[in-house]
Amino acid sequence: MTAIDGPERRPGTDRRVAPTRSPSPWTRLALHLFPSAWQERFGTEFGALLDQTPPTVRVVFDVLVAAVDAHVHPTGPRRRWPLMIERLRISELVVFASWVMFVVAGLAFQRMTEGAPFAPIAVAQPLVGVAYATIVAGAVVSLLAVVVGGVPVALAIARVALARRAWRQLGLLAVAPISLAIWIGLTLLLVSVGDPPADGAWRAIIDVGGPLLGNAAFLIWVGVFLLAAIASTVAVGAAALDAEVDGSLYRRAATPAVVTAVAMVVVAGAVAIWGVALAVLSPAAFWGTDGILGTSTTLTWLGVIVAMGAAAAVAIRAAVRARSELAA
Amino acid sequence: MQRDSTRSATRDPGLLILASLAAGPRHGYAMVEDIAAFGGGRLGPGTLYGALARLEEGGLIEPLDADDRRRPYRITQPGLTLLEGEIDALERVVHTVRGRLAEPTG
Repeated sequence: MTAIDGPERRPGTDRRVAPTRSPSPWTRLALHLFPSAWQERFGTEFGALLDQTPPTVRVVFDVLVAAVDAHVHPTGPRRRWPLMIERLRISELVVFASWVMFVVAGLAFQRMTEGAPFAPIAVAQPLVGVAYATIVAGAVVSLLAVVVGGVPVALAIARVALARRAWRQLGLLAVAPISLAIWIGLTLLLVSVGDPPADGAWRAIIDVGGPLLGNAAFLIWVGVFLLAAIASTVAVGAAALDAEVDGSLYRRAATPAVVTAVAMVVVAGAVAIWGVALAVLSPAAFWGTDGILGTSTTLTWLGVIVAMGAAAAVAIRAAVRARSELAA
Repeated sequence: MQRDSTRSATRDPGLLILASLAAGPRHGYAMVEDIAAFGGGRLGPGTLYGALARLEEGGLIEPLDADDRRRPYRITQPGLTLLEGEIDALERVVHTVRGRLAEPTG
């Protein structure tokens, strides 16, 4: 084996391809994808290498994968936080992202079942009614758990960002309320131009200018909601991953994360029971076409089950990891 | 260095970096060029720095003083020991397989 050269000899430090003095815009953008502690340790030298490497599709993909890996598997001797807190934070963010997906599926279910024929059936058939009440209760519990676990972390991130004048982080935190405001604005607009609501404002949206226009409006409304949900989740996740807040906040959020995940499982189970009970007790409604946009009720129910089940499974797995990090 | 038994040792970024640094300290760009020159393929910048971070954390390499924006790395004694062990293992595999390929099949 060849002995290594002393530090005075620097093979490979030739200046023929020396990087520029300051990072290029692409390099600055790429560096922002990495955790702040990683940037602090490797940012300058990694930026120099990026400036010497043409940003091909392969290179961009390689950098994206490395950035995700740096967040998920933080390494480095100068890591600021204990690894346990880093993993705990990742697990809790996964629970949060799963919960958002769960809420999207839940809103589809809510939209399908809020009126006739399902509301009267829930009153007439106790099993369907109990399943529906369990769904509502579970949804409320999961929301409260997310608020209890997430709001202190979000406030701490905002406080630190304000103190450090970290405008990027403040901007990321602003994505969620701005997205929500845009979606509420669109909702109000659609409600105002639609027919007078017969049984609630939400159903009036589909009545905008006849079935075709109404369906188009509904799809736009759902699309904006999905975009807002995705943008908010990514922004909150990015802000949390980049923020240096008290690690004990993430320890305290572990229990609400477990409660959220368990509530999601309960709700997914209750939705399954609701559908089976409906199929047995009121087959005409179950096999009808009262699903989203007048599609099959059964298919809408199955779609909701699949989405909720997947989100709940991911959340439970992440919550168990969070608990095991605390126990370790 | 984390080893993935399903990945060819000659494509393991950590092993390739150690092999490159066995010739002396190098910074990132020089490592990429050197590894490409000796047939290890061209490592992406993210792959390179992901592996560098892990190698440094494992004490297998160490950073030297930065040269402008670039920082050279040097292999440590544990890194050399690990590299020698990996190369010995590879040599045993190569020797065995060459012998089997030379034998007439029947």
